[in-house]
Amino acid sequence: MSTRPQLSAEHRDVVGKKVATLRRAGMLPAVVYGHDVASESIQIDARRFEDLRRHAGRNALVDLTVAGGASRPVLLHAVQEHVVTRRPLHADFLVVRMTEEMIIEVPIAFIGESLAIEKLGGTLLHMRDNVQVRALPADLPSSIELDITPLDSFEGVLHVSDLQIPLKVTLLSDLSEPVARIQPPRTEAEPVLGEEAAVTEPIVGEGEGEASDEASA
Amino acid sequence: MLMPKRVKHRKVMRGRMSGMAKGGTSIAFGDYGLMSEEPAWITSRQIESARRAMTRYVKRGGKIWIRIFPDKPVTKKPAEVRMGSGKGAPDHWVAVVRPGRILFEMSGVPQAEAVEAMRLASHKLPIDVKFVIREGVGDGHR
Repeated sequence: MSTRPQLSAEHRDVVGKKVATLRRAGMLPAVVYGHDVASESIQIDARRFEDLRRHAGRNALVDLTVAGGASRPVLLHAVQEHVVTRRPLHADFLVVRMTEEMIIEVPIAFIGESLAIEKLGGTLLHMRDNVQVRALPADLPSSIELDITPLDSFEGVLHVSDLQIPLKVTLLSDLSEPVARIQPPRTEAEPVLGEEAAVTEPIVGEGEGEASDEASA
Repeated sequence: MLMPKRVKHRKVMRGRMSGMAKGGTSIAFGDYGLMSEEPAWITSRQIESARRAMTRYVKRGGKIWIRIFPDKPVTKKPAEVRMGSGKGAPDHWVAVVRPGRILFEMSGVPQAEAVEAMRLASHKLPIDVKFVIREGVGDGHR
């Protein structure tokens, strides 16, 4: 018996704009597809989906059962959300083959405490939020940790090569790309943005030397 | 105050503000953000006023990002002028904001401080806004 979270779904015939009625009834429209697997429209209980998303974590494998059939290991591939309420509108499930490696984006989790933040009052700037990795579905990490303790001055920069990559996972992102650095704190009041620009008019026209539309009027 | 350095046309048409924001809807730089819940024209004065409110409250440390730019000119006719005789002169600059747009971002400060700074900033804006947190920071989206 698998220890993966279970999710049951029903086959969905309602498509297009009519799926709004499904959402009102507490169901979430979704689709399941995969390598050599025909795409199938499904619907799942919205509340159950929210619970699963909150507790299973990112890149977690789920056993999906459609209309009481055989369960298949799936990965939550994409979720469309409402831009204001952040309520899920639609979900994509990818059927995975447990013996086939896959490429996914994994978020970076910053751990540890930096001296430049604690003592010098700097601010952590993250230049990258995720990296691309390749692994078997069972070995996919939910996040990759980056220890920021070595950042003890404002000059230091951590790169993709400093990430703690788990065994059985291959990193595909460029190792020389910067991931995090510490910005020095503001010491004086910031100058007012564009103080001198407030009294000047913007230049009108596409390129240099081109007459403005006011001049030609 | 923010304004473009160079524009293609001095005056533009008003346009529409229907629908939701298409881009700039997720926190990209900081840990906390202020999201619009209504459509509006935000003037460069309002942006600057909100920025100052946040900067003053946070005092030292932290970093603030302004995610909107007032690139739309608004014209105004002089007082006591009859209708007609063409469009008025450019008066100020606005950013067209639709619901879901992240207006400001902040990082490097405790969450309680960010909430209060953004509350003060929200009073300078003509719309309802919502405090949002980047996924993976604190207790997630709020």
